[in-house]
Amino acid sequence: MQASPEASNGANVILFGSVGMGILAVCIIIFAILHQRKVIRYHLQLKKLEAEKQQIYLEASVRFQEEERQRIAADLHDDAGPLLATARLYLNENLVNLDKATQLQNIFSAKQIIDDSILLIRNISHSLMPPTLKNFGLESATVDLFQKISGSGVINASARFHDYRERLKEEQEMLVFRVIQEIVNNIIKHSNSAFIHLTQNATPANSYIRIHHDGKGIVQTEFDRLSQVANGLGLKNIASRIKVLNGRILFEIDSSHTYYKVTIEIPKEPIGS
Amino acid sequence: MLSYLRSKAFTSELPYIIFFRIFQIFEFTIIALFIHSLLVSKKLKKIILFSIIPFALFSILMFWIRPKQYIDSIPAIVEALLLIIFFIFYFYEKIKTVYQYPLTQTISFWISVAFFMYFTGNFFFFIFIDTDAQGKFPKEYFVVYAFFTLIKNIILCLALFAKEPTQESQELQIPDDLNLDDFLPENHKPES
Repeated sequence: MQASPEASNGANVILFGSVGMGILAVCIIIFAILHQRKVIRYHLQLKKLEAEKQQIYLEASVRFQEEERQRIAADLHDDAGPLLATARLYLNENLVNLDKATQLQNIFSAKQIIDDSILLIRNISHSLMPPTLKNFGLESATVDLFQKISGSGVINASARFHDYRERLKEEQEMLVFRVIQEIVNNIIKHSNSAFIHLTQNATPANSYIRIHHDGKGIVQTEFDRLSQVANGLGLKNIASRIKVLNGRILFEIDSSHTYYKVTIEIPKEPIGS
Repeated sequence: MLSYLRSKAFTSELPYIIFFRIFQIFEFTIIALFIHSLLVSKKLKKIILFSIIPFALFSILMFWIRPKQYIDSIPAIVEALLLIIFFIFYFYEKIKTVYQYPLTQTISFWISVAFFMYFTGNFFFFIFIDTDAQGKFPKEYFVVYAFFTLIKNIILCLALFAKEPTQESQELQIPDDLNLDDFLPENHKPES
């Protein structure tokens, strides 16, 4: 049966119209996909540049802070120490007009105070720039820190390095040590825990540090929230140092809910990079 | 399903035609609400939302005043035109907004593509559907409709396989055999 010319015309209109509309639809879809990909690429590039810029700022600020600490440490050690020692000598000469017993008592007290001051300044100097870290590296500095904490009798602290034959770069060690110090300080101040234990281990690509404690801790969501608020300076410092390290940090609670753990992942950078 | 209903469930034509018109309003509402859920712009969302009732009223009005046919071309054209415009809104919004991952990785995009193809491809079919009701056009006429319906169904099936991007896991990739938990709190003794 032959189709009428009207029907044939109508069928042609439908056929060509539909094909045309179909092609138009495909073009719109392809345009949307390609354009969106282009926009994503452009924004990824912008993001990368922004991240690089931020990284430079962060590194600069951390480096500045460390240089400042070193300068303060040097000033305290070289200037404040001798000055206080000289003050002690002057104090001896000014006391000659007093009666003997008072003189002796005062001299003894002054000496005691000045000795304490010297010791205090020395301790400040060491806490600002631990000589162990600079001279012997992260492992010795961390173990030393934990021994000091344990020695104070406040908390039971220990550190064990399983695989630290391949040391991190000096600046990385400094950042990791500051992070450990901040975490340990927070644990001592806020957690009310009886022990802290640090374990270190490594894979060919990363170095891992895990700190356990049995006090009141935080989990990742709380860390993320607290490191955003204005007064969370310590946690912010941890976050920014981890960022500079290109590392990651994870705050967890053990499945048995008996202790908290903080795990730090630090990518190993080849020496000289 | 419609063919089954036409041959089995409805004995006379009028209930089937009524059912078909209700189905058309329902189809438009569901797809419009789907696009509404995908859009971000409040203005566009409002336009879509406020188009549903006028379309339903228009469809009822057309049913009232126009000859009773299975598919009335005017509501079908209006439906297709509105939905094509809404899908263009959607694509426009997607290319304007920056996302972290390509559109092609989302299920909603492929569902939109399927229906967009279906309505644009069959637009001319809807225009001429009235003429077909008089039996003037050859059967090949429906090949176009079948082709775009098939494309729609294939894309809808493929949409099920789209892998939606997930948030980057914060879990550290620590090897299972890496000794970091050798320490047990109850056995803990400080190192000398």
